[in-house]
Amino acid sequence: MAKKESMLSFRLKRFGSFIVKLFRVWQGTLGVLLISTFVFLAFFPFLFTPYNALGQEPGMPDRLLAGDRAAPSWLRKIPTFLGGIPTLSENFDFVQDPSLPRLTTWDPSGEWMFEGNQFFTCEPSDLEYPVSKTPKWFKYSPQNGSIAIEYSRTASQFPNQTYVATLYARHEYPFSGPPRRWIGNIAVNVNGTLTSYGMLQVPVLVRVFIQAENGTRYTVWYSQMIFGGFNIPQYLQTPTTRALNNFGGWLIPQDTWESSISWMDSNAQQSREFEPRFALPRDPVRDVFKNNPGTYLYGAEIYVKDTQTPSSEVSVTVYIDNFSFDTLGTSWSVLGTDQYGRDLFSQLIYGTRVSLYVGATVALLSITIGLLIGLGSGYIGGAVDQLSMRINDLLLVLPGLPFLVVLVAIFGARLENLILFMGLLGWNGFARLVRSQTLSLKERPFVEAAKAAGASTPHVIVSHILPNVMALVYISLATSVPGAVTAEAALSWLGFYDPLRMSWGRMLNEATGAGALNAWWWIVPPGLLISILAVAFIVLGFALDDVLNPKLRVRR
Amino acid sequence: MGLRGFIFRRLIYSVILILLVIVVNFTIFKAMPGDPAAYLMPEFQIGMREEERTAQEAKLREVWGLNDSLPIQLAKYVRNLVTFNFGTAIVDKRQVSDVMREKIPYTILLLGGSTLVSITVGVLLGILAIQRRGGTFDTFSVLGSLITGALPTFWMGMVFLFIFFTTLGWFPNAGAFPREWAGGNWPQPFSLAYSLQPSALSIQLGIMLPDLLNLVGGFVRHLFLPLTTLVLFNFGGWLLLTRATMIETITEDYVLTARAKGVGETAILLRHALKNASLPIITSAALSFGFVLSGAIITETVYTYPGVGGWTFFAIGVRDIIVLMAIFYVISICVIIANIIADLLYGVLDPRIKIG
Repeated sequence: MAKKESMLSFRLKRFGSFIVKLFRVWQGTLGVLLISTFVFLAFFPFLFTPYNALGQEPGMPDRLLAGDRAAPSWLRKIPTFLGGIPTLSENFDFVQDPSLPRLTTWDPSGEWMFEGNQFFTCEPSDLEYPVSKTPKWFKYSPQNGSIAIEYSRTASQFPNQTYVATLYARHEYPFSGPPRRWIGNIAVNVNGTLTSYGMLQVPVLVRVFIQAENGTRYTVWYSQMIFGGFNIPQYLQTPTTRALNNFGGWLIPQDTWESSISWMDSNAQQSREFEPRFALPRDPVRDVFKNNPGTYLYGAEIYVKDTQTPSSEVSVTVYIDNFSFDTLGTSWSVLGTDQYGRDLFSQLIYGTRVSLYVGATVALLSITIGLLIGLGSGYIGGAVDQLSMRINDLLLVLPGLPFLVVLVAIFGARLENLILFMGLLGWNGFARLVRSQTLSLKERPFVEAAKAAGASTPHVIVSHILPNVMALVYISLATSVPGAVTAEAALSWLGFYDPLRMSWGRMLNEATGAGALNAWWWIVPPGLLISILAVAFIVLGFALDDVLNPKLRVRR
Repeated sequence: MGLRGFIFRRLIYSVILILLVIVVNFTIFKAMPGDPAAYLMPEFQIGMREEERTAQEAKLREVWGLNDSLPIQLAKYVRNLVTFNFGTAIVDKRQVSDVMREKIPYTILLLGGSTLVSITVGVLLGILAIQRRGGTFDTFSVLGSLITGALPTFWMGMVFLFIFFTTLGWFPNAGAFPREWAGGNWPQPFSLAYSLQPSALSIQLGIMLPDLLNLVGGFVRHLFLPLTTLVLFNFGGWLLLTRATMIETITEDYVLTARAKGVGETAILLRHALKNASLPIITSAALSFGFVLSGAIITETVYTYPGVGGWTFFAIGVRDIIVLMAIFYVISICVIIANIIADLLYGVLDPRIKIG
């Protein structure tokens, strides 16, 4: 008992003095500091970023954080000669009050305005869009109620024409560059007097528009002609008006819209005319957001086509809810976003995990295998030695990285596979080292003394040889990490990455795939961190070498 | 057993090693999931009836010998490889040996060049570091070479491309020669597929000097970035090796004796320390030249260089096992030959080694 305790305290003391010695070498201090920083990042990435490993908001993989391929937002603020880009924009919410538009007519501080002739009235209503149907990416908290725009007239007031009412808001767009994309939403509900067929007496159409003040009014979304039907009141589909850069279909300049009004008259020929204009050749976002910073109008036009029922009194009510419009900027956070609008900084932080995990496990695995084989072939010799050294030769001859790539390509790019293969292929150098050390240790007098005293082979290996090669083990553990880290990064960069994890190599792979060679904020950080991690382990290996191999110190 | 016996034994080992490599190749590609006949099916054959398909598959199996028992397959495989009969690539339907002949000159240019340069640079810097050992130059060269060796090559490539291609426009980003040569009025040494015909490097006599300079310049401009990347990645190893071996020799007694005799410091470094340290450097140089043919899979992919490495990556991407087998086999043979040469050099150069 006492012996055990003294042993323990001795070990502790020895460990303490080892640490002190390690920190006395500057490489040791540097290596330990860097590595502990990385370990901290790997264990507590959530302290640095609210997003998950792929750079998405947890539980909301569909939601874009910002425009795709956004630049770091701090680039907006630094001067141009330092590489700043003043024309970047950030995320901007046009609509403050999407749920129950506060009209300026009854609330002076409200943002929405209503224009319509004497037949229209606009009032708040209790009807609301079902919360359960609200799309997940809709970030506003659902509120009670909606706005109701009612059209009603008596039988004598029949106009025989289409009336338009407009619900809109004016917004100051503060940035000097256009956004990357927008996301808009509207929920429309229609109710009114019916014909004997159960259709609306006055069909309506809702068109959502965005317009630079005094500029062209562009359609963001429009409903089909709403005739009602057997199951009114009905909610229209919630249009997820995501203007994708390659999907210009949402934008219809005003003149085209006019022709589509006549299309509502079910004139087939004119509808065909309307079709080719549907796809705009240009980037819709850049088309709309031309003069920045500037004022923009966003709103909905309600077309009421009162041409069919001259003899009766009619009324139709259009309810509008969840009426929002947000632009996604061309800049975001610390490092911007990738081509799927995911946060790069978060990917970078979480990438530490993969690299450290691979580095540590591969080093452990290959060093363990190398140690076992080296000890066995060195001490036992004979056929064991021959066999293991021939396998060693074979591994030496096979081209390392291509072979690894082939293995991963065949057996799948799961991280565990990668670790296993790297461990199984990486032991040969260390095994040779241990073998030669063991061969020389075997002939030393203390081993012979142990043997003469009747020690068994396992005992000699474990108690006499192993302690003398442990220094090598520690050093090689440190120095074999960088190779594993860079190999993992290289494989990921080549496209053999674990689809469930984001690693630094995969970030670079995706940067290459997105053609983002000029986005240095995307390219530089992952590679830099790979290098720093590798260098940290290299200098740690140096320091360990210095501390554990006293022979070397004489030479320097 | 004299030197002859040693060589004989090494040769026997090497033959065994080659056979082992073949067996490993065979095992890996046999272990590949999926039916090889499915890989070998010529094209998508939409509308093919089930019995037609099975008939075709059976035919393929017959042709490729997939019905034979494993040992016979292995034996056939060994026979084919030993006679360098690699067969036809699955994807582009060309003779593997033909494609290899196209790719190898580029890889030798890139890898051979970079190995040569990095050995020269590394050894020179190593000597300089030893000369000033313990000084700032020593510390910084060792540290610098460690850092450049730790940088991932593909990242280095991307950064270089960003600086020298995207921003400055000094160097091209892809290929081994200007794109227009492939289709221009140049004396057509190149096919459109970016590949070198066997006659490519044999420039016709009577070519004008400006043309020659243009030709060389075109190759060098395309070679520069990948070569630099590889040199930056590799020279550190040579520096460290030189430094380590020379640190051994420079503390030997004979150096002390030379110094006592009044031999100049440079002469001591070069004639006493370096000469005795050169053995491991030369042998590992021989070894690393053995890996030249394996190409640089990463670097060649970054710079789209048409060498063996890029080809390997392409073959992996399309699962062209026939190409991969051939590449691995050739690389292994080169490395084994390099091993033999290294052993022989060891035996010849070091008078202390008296084998047997």
